[in-house]
Amino acid sequence: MSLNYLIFFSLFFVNNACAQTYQPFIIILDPAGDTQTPGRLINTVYERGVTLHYVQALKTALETAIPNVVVAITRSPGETIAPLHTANFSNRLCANLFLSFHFYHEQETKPHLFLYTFTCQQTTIIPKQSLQMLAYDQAYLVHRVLSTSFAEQSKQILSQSLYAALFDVHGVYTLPCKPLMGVLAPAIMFDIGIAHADDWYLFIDPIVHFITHLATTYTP
Amino acid sequence: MKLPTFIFIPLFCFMFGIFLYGFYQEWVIIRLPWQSNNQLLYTTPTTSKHVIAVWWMKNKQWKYESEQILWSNSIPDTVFHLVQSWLALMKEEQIINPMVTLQSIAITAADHAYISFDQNILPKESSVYEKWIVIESLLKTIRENKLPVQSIVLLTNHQISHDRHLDFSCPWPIQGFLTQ
Repeated sequence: MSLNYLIFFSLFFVNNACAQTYQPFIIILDPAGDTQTPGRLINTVYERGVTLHYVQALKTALETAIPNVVVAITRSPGETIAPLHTANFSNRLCANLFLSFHFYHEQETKPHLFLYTFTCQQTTIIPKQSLQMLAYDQAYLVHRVLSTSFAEQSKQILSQSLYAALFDVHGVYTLPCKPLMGVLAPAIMFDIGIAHADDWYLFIDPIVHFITHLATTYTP
Repeated sequence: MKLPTFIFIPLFCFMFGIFLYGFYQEWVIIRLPWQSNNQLLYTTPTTSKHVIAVWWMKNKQWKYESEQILWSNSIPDTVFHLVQSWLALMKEEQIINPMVTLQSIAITAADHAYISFDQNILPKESSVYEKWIVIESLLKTIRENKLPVQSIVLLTNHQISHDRHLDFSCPWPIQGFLTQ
């Protein structure tokens, strides 16, 4: 009996210890467009439809592939997004990674993928880690180095010979990207050119591969 | 009074009046010995024809075309003519909507150039990269022609330009972002 209590309490404490150290990897997927902004036309389909289908499929694939991941999509069908709404959403969730997806119509058959990170203006000011006020357009400075590192890693993974036959990768470019404005988490914008509206499925496995690599190597 | 006096005094007054009128109309300039040369010189807008290079990117390579514009010592006027020349080339190359026109340019004391068009110059269906390169070509054209502009702010109908992918609320530095 005393041995049973000993085993019970030891399991109890081990479980609590795991709960305290368990930190899920929180990913925000931001599909372009909303009810007011249909986006660019890809054949006969608008960008907002393509990106929403894509992130929904990506979310399912990520939740299957990575056990401790929490994936949130910034909008649902029929929703109108206010300016900086997605950044607020991501910041409130204390996201570990923010990915914004955009699609456009590419004339060439082979898709192109462009990688972007955010900068407002050329500055080398790095904020202190202690509590301080930052303007919303300077929020990127908190994880600027991490954003660049993640974007470079994504380029390395997506440029592998495994995916070279599927699409071409360009970047990483640093620009004042509006979808990434105000996001505290490391943020990357993908602008993907596809010839056909259904070609988005080509980008599920590569992005899952990239995020799996991040989830296993990066500790929040 | 003698007759010569009746002639001399009005004639003198008439000549003095002509001289005074000429002085106020700056036909006659009096330079006093203690005045320096600088006080007499005043700047007038001078314009001359100048050859500039208008840059744009084609097939991932920078190309330029030489154009002649009116170059004046008024920087906003010069930038206006330069941007108009750039806009004409962009329309010729079918990169920008041919209906876009340049409205006005203002340059602040900090050398920020506010450039206002009547429509959004960025092609709506293009990729982010193509839209970015349009802005980079404008920055390169201003930069390579050695105009004293440190950054540009794009306006549409005198309001900050709106684009779904690129943010124009912050000034874009004249060096651009391509060289990073």
